[in-house]
Parts: sequence; C-alpha cells; structure tokens
Amino acid sequence: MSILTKVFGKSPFEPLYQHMLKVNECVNLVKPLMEALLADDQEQVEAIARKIFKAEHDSDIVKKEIRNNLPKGIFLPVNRGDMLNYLREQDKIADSAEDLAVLVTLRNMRVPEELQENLRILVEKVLITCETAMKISSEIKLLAETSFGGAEAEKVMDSIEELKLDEFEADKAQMKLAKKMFSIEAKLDPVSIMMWMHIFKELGALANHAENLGDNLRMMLHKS
Amino acid sequence: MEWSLVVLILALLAGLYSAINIGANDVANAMATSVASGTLTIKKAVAISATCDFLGAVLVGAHVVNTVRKGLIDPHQFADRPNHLLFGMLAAVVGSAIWVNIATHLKLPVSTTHAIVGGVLGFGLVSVGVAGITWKVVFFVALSWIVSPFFGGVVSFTLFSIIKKSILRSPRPIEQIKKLGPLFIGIVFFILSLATIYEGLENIHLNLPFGQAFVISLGVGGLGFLGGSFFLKRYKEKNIDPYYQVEKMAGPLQVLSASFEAFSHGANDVANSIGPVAAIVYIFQTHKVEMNVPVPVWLLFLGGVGIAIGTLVWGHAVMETVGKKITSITPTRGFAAEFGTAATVLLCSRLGMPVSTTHVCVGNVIGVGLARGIAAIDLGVIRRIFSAWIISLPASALFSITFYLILLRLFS
Repeated sequence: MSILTKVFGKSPFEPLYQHMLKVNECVNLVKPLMEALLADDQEQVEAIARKIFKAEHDSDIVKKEIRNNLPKGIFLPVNRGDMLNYLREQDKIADSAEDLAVLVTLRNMRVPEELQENLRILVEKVLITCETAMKISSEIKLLAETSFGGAEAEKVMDSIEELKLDEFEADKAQMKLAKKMFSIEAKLDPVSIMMWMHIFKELGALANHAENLGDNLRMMLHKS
Repeated sequence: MEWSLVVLILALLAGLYSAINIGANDVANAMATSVASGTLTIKKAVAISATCDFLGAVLVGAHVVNTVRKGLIDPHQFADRPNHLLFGMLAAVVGSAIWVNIATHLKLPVSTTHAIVGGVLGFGLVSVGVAGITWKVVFFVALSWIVSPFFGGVVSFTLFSIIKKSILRSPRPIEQIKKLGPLFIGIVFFILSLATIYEGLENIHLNLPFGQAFVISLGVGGLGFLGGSFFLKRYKEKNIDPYYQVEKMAGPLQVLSASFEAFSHGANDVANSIGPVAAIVYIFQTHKVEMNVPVPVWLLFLGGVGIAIGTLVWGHAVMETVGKKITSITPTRGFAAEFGTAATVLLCSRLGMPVSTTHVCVGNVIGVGLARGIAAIDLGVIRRIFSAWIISLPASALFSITFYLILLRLFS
C-alpha cells in the first residue's frame, strides 16, 4: 500500500468537536437539573442526573479515543501538550456537571426560600460562561482550516476575552449566594450548609473550567 | 543471434510488467487527495491520471532514461562483450521488479526508483567491478534522493504559507481566492510548459531554445490565468461558511496540480521500467555499444502505455483505499503539496535525476504540515522510508546479480 496513507495521522479536530458536543450536552442539562431542584421535584432531579451521567460517560469515551490517537511521534499544527490540556479542561466541564448531579441527588435538598433568587442568578451566570466556552470550542474545525490564525482566530480571541468577564460575574454571584446563605445560617442545619457549600463550589467550578478552556485555546493559537 | 531476440522479448515484457506495476502502485499519489476531498470521482481521477502520466512519459521521459541506461555504468566497458550488458540490464529489470513485488507483499514502502538503481548497480558490481561504476553519477543520484524531498518540502511550505496568509487568514477569503486563484493557475501552466518545451521534446523535434520557450510558456501561462479568472468570476457566494467555499473553489486548482503531478510522475518513473530496456534495444539493433543515441520514442510509448494500463486496471481499487484514509487533506493543502511535488520531480527529471516521486510527495506533505496546514502527520513515516531505502538497494542488487549469473550460465 502506498506510503502516502501512512503520512497522514487521524485528524484530532473532528473528534475534539465531537467531544465538545458531548460536553455541551452535559452543560445544557445543568439548567433543567437546577430548575427541578428549585421546584423541589426530586424525581425529575434524578431523571436529569441520569442523563448527565450518560453524557459524561460518552464524553469520556471520545476523550480516550482522542488521546489514544495522539502518540508522541505525531506532528500537529498546534502544540500537542496545549491540545491535551485543552481537551482535559473541556472534559472537566463535563466532570463538574456530573459531580453537581451527584451532589444534588445524594440527599433530598430543599432550596430555602431566601436563597432561590440568588441561586437562579448563579446558575444563569455560570451557564452564560459555559455556553460562551462551548461556542468558542465549536470553532475548532474552522480554526484548523485557517491553520490557527487570521480573521477566524481574532474572532475567537475576542470571545475568549468575553469569557473572562462572564467568569468574573459568576464568581461574584457565587460569593453573594454564599453570603446570603450565612446570613440565614441559624435557620439551616450544619449538614445542609456543608452540602450547599459543595454545590455552590461545583457550580463555580463549571465557570472556572470554562474560563480555563478559553485560556488553553488561546495557548494553542498563540504559537503561530 | 537467436537468443538475443529471446532476451529482447523478455526485456520488453519485463519492462512492460514493471511499468504496469508502477502505474498501479503510484496512481494514488497524485489523485487520491482530490478523490478524498470529493473534487473528483474515482473514474475521472483514474482517467486523468492515466492520460497525464502517459504524456509525461512520452514527452519528457528521455532524460531520466538516459541516466539509468548509461549514466550509472559506462557502457563502453562492454564494447567487446555487448551481450553481457544485455544480460545485465535484463537482470536489473527482472530483479528489481521481483524485489518490488516481494516488498509490496511485505508492506514495505519501497520505491521503484531505488530498486532499479540498485538492480543496475548490482550487475555492474559483478560484471565490471567497483571501478567500472560511475560513482559520481551514483553519488548525485543518491544525493538527489535526499535533497528532493527537502526541496519539495520547502516549495510546498512556502506556497501554503502564501495561501494561508493571503487567502485563508484574510477577512474576505472568497474575494482573495478570486483574485489570486488565476495567478496560481497561470504559474502552473507556465512552469509546466517551460519544463516541457525548453530543450525538451527532442523526440517530436520541438526542442526550443530558452528565449522562445520562455515566451511561449508565458503565453500558455497567460491563457491559464484568463481561463482561471473566467471560471472563478462566475462563482456565486453561498450562504455557508466562507472557508468551506474557498476549499470548494480550490478544488479545480487541486485537480490541475494533481494532473501536473501525474505528468511529472510519468516523466520520471518511466525510466524505472524502460531505462535498462532502452540499452538492450539499442544493442540488439546495432550490435554495438555507443553513448549518444536517442531513446526511441516507441519505447517511451511502451512505458507510458504500461503505466496507463496499470493505472486503469488497478487504479480504482488503490484510489478507493488510499482516498478513504487521507480525508484530512483539503484542496488548498492538496494544491500546495501537489504543486511542490510536481515542480520538484519535473525539475529532477529534466536534470536526469531518477528521484522517488513518492518520497518527494511525502516531503511535500510534511512541508505543508510544517506550515501548520495538516491536522496530523505521523513522523514515524520518515523512519519507515529510511529503513526501506537501506533494505531496497542491496536487496534489489542481490536479485539482479542472481539473474545476471543465471543468464550468463544459460546463454554463454
């Protein structure tokens, strides 16, 4: 067989795009999950959590496939380490969504009336950050097409800047929510407080990973 | 000399056989990327490939044939025993063909060029000894095997960098390709025609001096430019992402460079099958050993037909498998890599250097990759190429020596 076929490795960009789609599935399930929690519909919470587990598992499979197809001898248009970091950070978004789903199903958590609005705001801010990150990540195939530079890359760079502001907003919302909770701490039992802190942290982690995803993509772009 | 007729017929058959092999094996190199990107159907790719390969062999093939025929070993040494040269050249064709067949079965990426040079050197070593081989030519041929993929890589790296900067990374890629596409087409036509008619085409008495050839080639390039802009201007923008449209528009450009590559493949690789046969035919016709006789056109024709047959019969299957595996290359990348390959191989052919078209092609793909144009390149391929190189020369030489000794026993 022609040696020409052996020159070309498997392109990692299409699978990276597929991975993004799976992670995005997890992200899109976070809102209904939290809505169900706010509505105190435990059955629905568990149903959505199961969907998240499934999507997270699927994204893991794609991640492994990408890693297996990137041996050291492969030459990519971007730094291999940067690409693997990017993949890892994208995968962490799905992991955080899964952890969140686990946390809210461990124990029947009722959202206190006083926290409802702040929690809604936090979820909204976190999801804006994640959605921006997913939008950026969905450009990966076009970035490969323009070999990671030019007009397309500039567009993505601008969105990465936007991501930083979104994450900052999410941070602020997380802090406000925590403060609110401690202002009513007398009403809550210690176990609930501990659980809520974990849940808030996991929501914040979603936004953090989304921001890091942008930073890692920037690293890939910079080496042109 | 009845046995010499037997040798002649055997040689012609062996030459044809190896030409068919070359056609079948290398057909995918030029056209597979066009098939993979969906620009050409397999049928069209096979037809274009066979035609261009044939034309390249007949029109430009003679230069490289001469190197294999008389460059590696000075035929004067056989003046008093022309039949030894006859047996030797036959042994070289048959030996290298058998080695290439075995190597293909072993899935080794061998080059027919290395095999035939190994074959000629093999019988040369036993018949005229180390001193009888023109080592200077051998050295330059070996050097060209190393230099040509690098040179090609530089060409395609530069070309893809230009495409990247001026088209892909521009805010208005579609307008840019409408502007620059015709220029690329013009350059391809210019180089192709200059390389063909400048002191070439001896066979059909069209060997023009540089001035004339240059002017005519400029004219041909100009026509290519006009034709290109005519077609590109008619393209209407669609409502999909501009980058995908640019790739679609670059499709014909890629087909053009692929045809160019098939042409240069014919020019270069025809020598691998009929180079030694040309020596045999000459001795058979004149019973003398002389240096300066042209390679008969009918022989180039035979080689060209063999390559075309190989392409037409086995091209379909090869193209299908190769095309499926290399979907990661798009028309802009394909154009850069194929143009670099074609220009390098054609230049080497004109210098009489039998280079490996496959290796030049690999060098060019890596060139585009270094310009960040290709999603993933397996650099392990370089190691595989080198190891096949190291094995191919002695292996082919051994087969050639064996046949040479058998023929000597049988006929003298």
